Amino acid sequence: MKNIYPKTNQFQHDSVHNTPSPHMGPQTTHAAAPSNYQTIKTIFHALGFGISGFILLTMFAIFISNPTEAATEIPQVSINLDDVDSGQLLLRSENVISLALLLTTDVKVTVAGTVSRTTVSQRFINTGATWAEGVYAFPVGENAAVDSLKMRIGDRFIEGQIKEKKAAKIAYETAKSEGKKASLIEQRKPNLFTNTIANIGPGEIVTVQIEFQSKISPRDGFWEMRIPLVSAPQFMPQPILQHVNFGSKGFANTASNETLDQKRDIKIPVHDELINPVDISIDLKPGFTLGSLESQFHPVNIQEVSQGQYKIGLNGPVSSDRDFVLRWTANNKDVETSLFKETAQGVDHLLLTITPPFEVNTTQTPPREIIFVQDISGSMSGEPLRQSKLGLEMALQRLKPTDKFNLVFFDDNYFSYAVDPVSATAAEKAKAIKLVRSMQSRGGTQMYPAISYALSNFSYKTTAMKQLIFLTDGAVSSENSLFSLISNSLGTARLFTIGIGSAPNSYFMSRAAEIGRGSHLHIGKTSEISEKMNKLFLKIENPAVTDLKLTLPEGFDAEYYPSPLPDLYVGDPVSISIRGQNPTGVATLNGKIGSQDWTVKVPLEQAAETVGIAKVWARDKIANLERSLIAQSGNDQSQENVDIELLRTALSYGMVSRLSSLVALDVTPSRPTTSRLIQSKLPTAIPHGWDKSQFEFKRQDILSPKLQKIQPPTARLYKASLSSDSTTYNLPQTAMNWRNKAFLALLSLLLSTALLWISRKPAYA
Amino acid sequence: MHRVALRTLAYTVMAAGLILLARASEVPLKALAGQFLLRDVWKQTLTSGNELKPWASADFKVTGELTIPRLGLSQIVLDRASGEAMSWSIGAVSSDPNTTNAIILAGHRDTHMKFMAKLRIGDLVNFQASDASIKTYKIIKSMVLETPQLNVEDSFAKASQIILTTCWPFNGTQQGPERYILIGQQV
Repeated sequence: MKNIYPKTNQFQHDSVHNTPSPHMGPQTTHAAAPSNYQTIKTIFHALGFGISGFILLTMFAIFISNPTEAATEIPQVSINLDDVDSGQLLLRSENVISLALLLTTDVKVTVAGTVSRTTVSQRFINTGATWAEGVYAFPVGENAAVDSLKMRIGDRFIEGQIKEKKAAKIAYETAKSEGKKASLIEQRKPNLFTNTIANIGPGEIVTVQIEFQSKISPRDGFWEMRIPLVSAPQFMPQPILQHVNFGSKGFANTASNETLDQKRDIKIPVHDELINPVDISIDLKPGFTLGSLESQFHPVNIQEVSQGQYKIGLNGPVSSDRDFVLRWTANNKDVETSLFKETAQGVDHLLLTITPPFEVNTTQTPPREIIFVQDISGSMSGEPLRQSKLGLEMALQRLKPTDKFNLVFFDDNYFSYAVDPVSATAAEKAKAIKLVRSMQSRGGTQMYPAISYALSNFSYKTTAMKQLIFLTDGAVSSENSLFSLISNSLGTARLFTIGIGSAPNSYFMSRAAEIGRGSHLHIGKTSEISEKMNKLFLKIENPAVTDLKLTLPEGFDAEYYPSPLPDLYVGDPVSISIRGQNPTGVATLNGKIGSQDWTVKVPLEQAAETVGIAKVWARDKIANLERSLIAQSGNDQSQENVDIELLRTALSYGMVSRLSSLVALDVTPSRPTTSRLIQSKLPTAIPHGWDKSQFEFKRQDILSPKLQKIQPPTARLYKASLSSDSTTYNLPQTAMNWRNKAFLALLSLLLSTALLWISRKPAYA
Repeated sequence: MHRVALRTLAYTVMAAGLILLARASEVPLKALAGQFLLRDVWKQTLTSGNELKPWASADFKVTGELTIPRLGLSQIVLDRASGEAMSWSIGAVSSDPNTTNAIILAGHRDTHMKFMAKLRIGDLVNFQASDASIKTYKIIKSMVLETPQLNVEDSFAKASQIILTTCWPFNGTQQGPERYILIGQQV
């Protein structure tokens, strides 16, 4: 009964009032409306409201559904090879990645002048309960080359041998499929060396020893050597377990940290217990009289073994909780020269390092004429253009009134700020900055006409330093014609190239900069563009030495690199690697500081013997060959010849390169197979020539009682599938979400209709 | 007075709505019209053998054609996956023949790569390169990446594969890091 009353009430209510209402029902009862026009109008309004109501409801539903979707997303921690900033062993078993527990680290470094040779020995244990595949990663720093690898996994011994890359891969794949332990080093990123290890058993101890060579360059008068130690996993009863979704192969994926909740249960190590103990010893031959020598974060013992040779060591092992940094300076900040020698394969190798005068008379810095060539093509749109505009603006602001500048923008066409370079007065700078800010991106990438114009835009009468800054993100199409353009019309100018993003133009850009006798800067992350541009501009404000030439004494026939020699900037030393038979006599290095001549005479007999110099030469030669490949693009025959020469150099000097890699094969001393049971109880035999202090140990001596519970494997598992060499592609954003926009547009149209309807003239006015 | 203010507001909202509508419809219109324009250039490419820019101000070239016989559709492929190129058609993420032989393509989930939702394992996909050679691939695997980084083993890439990528989820309303991947093996 109760139901009926409201219904009738409603009906009565509606029929009493004749005013239109948003309800559908009553309106149809308006049969007696004054005219047909009114009826139609009412129906339209009603329909409009019906539709808008429906759309509003749908939209409401969509907006409700979105937040719930977002809420189910679990915040995830990512584990990535790019994040590795100290020596680590990443283990993968099924879909779980864990960091192997680091037991000890031992680092030995020999520094001679600008070259350092580092031996890192690290011991890990697989604390997981299953067989795992591992990737050993060590950030060796830029300009470093790993050339030796020794490993012990359980009771197997593995040693690296340099092979041609194709052969190396096959050897690794074969060893892996046969279930043998194998490992492969290849260049992945310039500063991170990774090494894949197949078949690591539960409880097995992995000892890895790598040796690498790197260059040490002084910065602001300081020489610095850093050993990355900081982020090793801490001593915990359980390793950090991370669940990973292998969306693709490799490690570039997300993971969620499982131990977060257990953190409270983990005992904090006792005060005197070492966390991942590390021992470091350094043999330092700076090649000049030391001004100061200090360890930044660790107390050390410094001992002068002989004149110009120092031994630096820790007072026993320390916890691996911060990077080790050693810094030294020269007593005399002016011209410093060092010369080292190594005889390898019956030939002498020399490394000559010269630091130009540190104190350049800044009041005499010559004025500059600088032309910026900026890419504004369609592909630069968004962040790249915004950031490079910022960088350009900062560069303009730094110019002195005595400097001259011009700006050239290009897409398919080009245009310049001024006809000829103008003086960098405050007014001109402000005007130019305004123009820079107004730039929009569009069109294609035609760089030849722009570069050609810019090169001929310098006023050749002036003695000013001429610098051309070329910024692009585009792929280069006509490399050879550009190379010849640059070398023909460069004159006394210097070309600096800035490459942005992942466009495959790095080789062209660096080679162009080399022909242009400047330098190349590659910026991968768009967020770093303006910052890195600014650094480059700061540096090129003060070139120290230009027009460098090396003259070797007569009768000493030698090959030297880099060739041609680069310009030097304040604080940069030049290192020249020379290879030849019996160096005697005096070599002369000529250059110009501003307009003054600068000469250094080097008696070659006075070289100090040091290991590693031959490898430096080989590395410099390989780098030079790689660059010359670009100049010969288009000529397959000469490119093949360069490749043959490169591979020959890499193999004879034992270098990892584009064509050669270090493949590690089983070198376990063989035992009689008949008495395996008895043999396994004998102490493990160490291969000849291996460092016993690192590779010979008893399990119980190096493991804490807690870890000894983990049993080493008794059976071998033959399964491995970890990727060894991969390329990462950044996939673009591929959603335009035009539907959202269209939806919003329709909604606002409806809203406006509704507003119009509300504000209509009363029907019966 | 009140009514006048309301009307002004109404017209303002309407104008905003129209502008927004025009901007939103640019995407599907470009996508539709683009194919007609690009198809002409593609025919020229096939006869001449040179990759061409579709129009003078474009910062990309036409490099191939992707055909899916089962769905009866085809899309022109451009030589780069920049935002500009992808507003017109599918773009190639990797067009550098030195790093890999795998073809990696990317397109918008709501325009050119919408068809990926309908592709199934076992479907055949044809790719015609600018030298007119046609390769047929069979879709063998699908997956979703949580981050927009695709790690491809070099040895894997050398084995002649095609990788189609687009944003995930298909009916998503926001831009996100997830990507949907289909891998095709040459048959």
